[in-house]
Amino acid sequence: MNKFRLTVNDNDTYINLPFEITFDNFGREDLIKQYENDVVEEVINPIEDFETTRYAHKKWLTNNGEPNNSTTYEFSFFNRNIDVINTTPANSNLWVSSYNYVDPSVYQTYSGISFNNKELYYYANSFRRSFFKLDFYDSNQSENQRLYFTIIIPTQQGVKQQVDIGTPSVPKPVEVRRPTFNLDYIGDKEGYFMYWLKGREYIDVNTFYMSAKFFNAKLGQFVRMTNRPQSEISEKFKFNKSEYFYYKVDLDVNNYEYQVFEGYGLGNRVGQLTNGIKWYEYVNPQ
Amino acid sequence: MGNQKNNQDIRIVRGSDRYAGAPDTDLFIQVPLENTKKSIIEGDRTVLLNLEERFDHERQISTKFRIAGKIVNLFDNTVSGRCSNYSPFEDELYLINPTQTVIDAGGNVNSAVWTGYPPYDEFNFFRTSGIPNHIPYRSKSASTYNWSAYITYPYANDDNQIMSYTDDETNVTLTFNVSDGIPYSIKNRVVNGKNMISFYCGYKHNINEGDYIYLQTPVNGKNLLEVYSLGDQSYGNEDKIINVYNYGFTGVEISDGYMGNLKRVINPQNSGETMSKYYVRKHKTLTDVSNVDLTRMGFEQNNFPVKKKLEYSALTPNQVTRISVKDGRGSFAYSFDKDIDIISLMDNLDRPITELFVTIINKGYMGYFNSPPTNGSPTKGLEVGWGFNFRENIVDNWWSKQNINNKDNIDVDFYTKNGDNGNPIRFYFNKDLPIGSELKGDLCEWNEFQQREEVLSQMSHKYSFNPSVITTSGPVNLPDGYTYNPHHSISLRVYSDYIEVGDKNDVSGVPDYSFFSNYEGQWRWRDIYSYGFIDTDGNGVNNPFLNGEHYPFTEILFLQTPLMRNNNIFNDINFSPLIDNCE
Repeated sequence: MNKFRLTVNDNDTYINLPFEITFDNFGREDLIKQYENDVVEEVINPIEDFETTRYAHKKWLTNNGEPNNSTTYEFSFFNRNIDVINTTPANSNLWVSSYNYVDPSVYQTYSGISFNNKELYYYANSFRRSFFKLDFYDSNQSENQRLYFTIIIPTQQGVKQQVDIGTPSVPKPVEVRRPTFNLDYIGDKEGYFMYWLKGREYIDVNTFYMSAKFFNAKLGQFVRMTNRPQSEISEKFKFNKSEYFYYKVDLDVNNYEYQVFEGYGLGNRVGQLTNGIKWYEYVNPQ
Repeated sequence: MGNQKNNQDIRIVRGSDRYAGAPDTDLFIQVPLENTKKSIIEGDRTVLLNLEERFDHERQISTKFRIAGKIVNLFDNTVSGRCSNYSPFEDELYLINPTQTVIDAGGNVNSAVWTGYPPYDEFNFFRTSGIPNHIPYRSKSASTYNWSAYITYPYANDDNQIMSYTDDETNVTLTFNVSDGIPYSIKNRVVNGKNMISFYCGYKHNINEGDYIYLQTPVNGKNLLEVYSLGDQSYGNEDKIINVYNYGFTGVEISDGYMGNLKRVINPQNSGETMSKYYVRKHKTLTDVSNVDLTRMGFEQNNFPVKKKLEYSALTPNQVTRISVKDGRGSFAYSFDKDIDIISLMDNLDRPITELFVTIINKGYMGYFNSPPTNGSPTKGLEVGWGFNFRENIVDNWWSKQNINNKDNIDVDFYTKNGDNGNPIRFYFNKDLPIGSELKGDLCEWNEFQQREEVLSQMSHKYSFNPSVITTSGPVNLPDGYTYNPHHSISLRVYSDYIEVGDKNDVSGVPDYSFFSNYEGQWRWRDIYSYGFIDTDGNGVNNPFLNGEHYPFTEILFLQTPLMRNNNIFNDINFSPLIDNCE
């Protein structure tokens, strides 16, 4: 509070008294209401777009220069001619793309984990209910990765090979499936498309890391897959998992397409007919 | 202290100094003790949330749509021909009586002249194989070889479309402008002893008894005539025949077979506002071919049988055993990966969008169809027409390749392959349309006073065989082919069944698309029903709403029909009167 002292003199005396006018800005109530709406939207029932759409394989060119969009997966199993710990890079051919991959005469112990030709031809339950599972993570670091979606490739798909299910005296050549899949818009198409969010407002992830497992209904077990044969890995069991268990998948959100790249080295694009996405059975130490 | 700008100077003057003889008085200055803070009252900022209300609120304000649905392809393969100069096509035909063909050729397969139907694959929405030795097949294009699908919306009207209507009885053709109104042909009749002038209209007139018709050509100086009744003795033709009581009209304008155009008028005292306008809707594409995903539905098929047979090697042109398919059946799921936001879209009448269309256009990439005329419009392979351009026993000349008025904004392209005689053959196909392309649409009536748009005649596309690759019995300028309706409506919202009126001095609550009637001195409009509201007549939409967007699902019955069909000849069924035991 200011003090004023007035003395008598012949001149006029003035006192300046402030009359405060504080303006209440027009629309302040509206702002509060808008803020209130924002808070309500944020707290309760925010609209998120969970819609997914299909992503197809990005075009690639064949050797003849013709465009193609198919995706090729080649799964190979270890035939166990020798113990995996003893394999060298020269033994890569021990991983074969076949469900009938163990020679029982060589490794009787393991004969139960593969399928015989009759099981394949007649689609025995143990074969029919087996499947490949591709998991897509946001990171190749298993410690902090999160699984976002999965693709199942059933064993009823796949290219065919001719085998004999007859006897030496009465041969019966038939065609059975093998675990090489040429997936496309038509024909074998289960697992061809990747279904992921249309928008990026909810989860902004465009790069995934794909790992593979084979679920064997004959054993009730699954095996993991690596992106190169264990024989080519110097440390057969103590290798860098982020390097050998994954392929990198890039989604193009503008064109709804995907591309797959090798998870190590130069990161070359794979998935084409002659350069498929190769998966090799990982064999645990005995 | 307050803002310096707001300070007020107060001058205090002693009373005796104000004027001579003024007394001194006590002066008081009231200083306001102003509090600029305001307590928030508990309850003022409390928001009660109701899940149902929140959902409805979000639903009503959303303007985005995700379009999906099902296409049922109904097709009967009826046009056969010969592909004598192009063996890849000849080797694919569904052969007609191949045994007789070989016998007629004296047993020499190589000299036989094969006749057959093009394979069903050419009319299918999803083809799983190409044609051997023709062009490479790409599985990605399985759903785009034969047909292209787009989302379109009606954005403008075309008042200048030239049309023609041929009366089936007199075979006289009337060429007119769409804005002239409904084409008619006169027939004088006597009904219950009364002389009637019957106007046989080319398409649905949408006129009621008691309405008036405005004739382009006056009768005895009168343009406006009152409608006395509708229809004739045949069943179900009320929507195409108008009867006017003839109380003494004379002249050629009412003679049998006279043709002209008429318009609907509701109130003759207010003919300016109540006279209908006639136009062709113009569509604009909102998507391109890359936006549609079209797949076969797993288990759903239509009721018509698949017609296929085994062609024995000895009875085929290339002596290879195969299975040929003439007719197929199948349903296809379509969805567009582009969301449509209608907030900035206005329809052809400058109203908010209430309707989108799935527009399906023949592409015919394999090259069986769509050859353009050699002159006239050398880049157009498709023809467009309306319901009245179909006749019972003859192909309407409207569909002529030389007609410049039956073309749309769809251009053809071609690739070349050598025929069996070594000369190049052009294989035509319709180009894909970019976003923003304009297309012709249905013929409609708009009545400003009633605020209602009515589709009077649907537009059709005709795609016809390329005579360079397949020879049919049709003439060069009227080649055989098939027709289909390209535009299929997806209802987003609907206008009310009633008309709202508003006082001219009160503009609150009057939508910007309303019409001001000078005659009545008030605003007139129809409300747009809110999402989820269905009135007692079943009008309204209740599409799923999630992810902040509407999901309309529309089933499209896609009919591919040959050119000759009875659209204008009326059903002559006469029902017997009921006779009970009392008679």
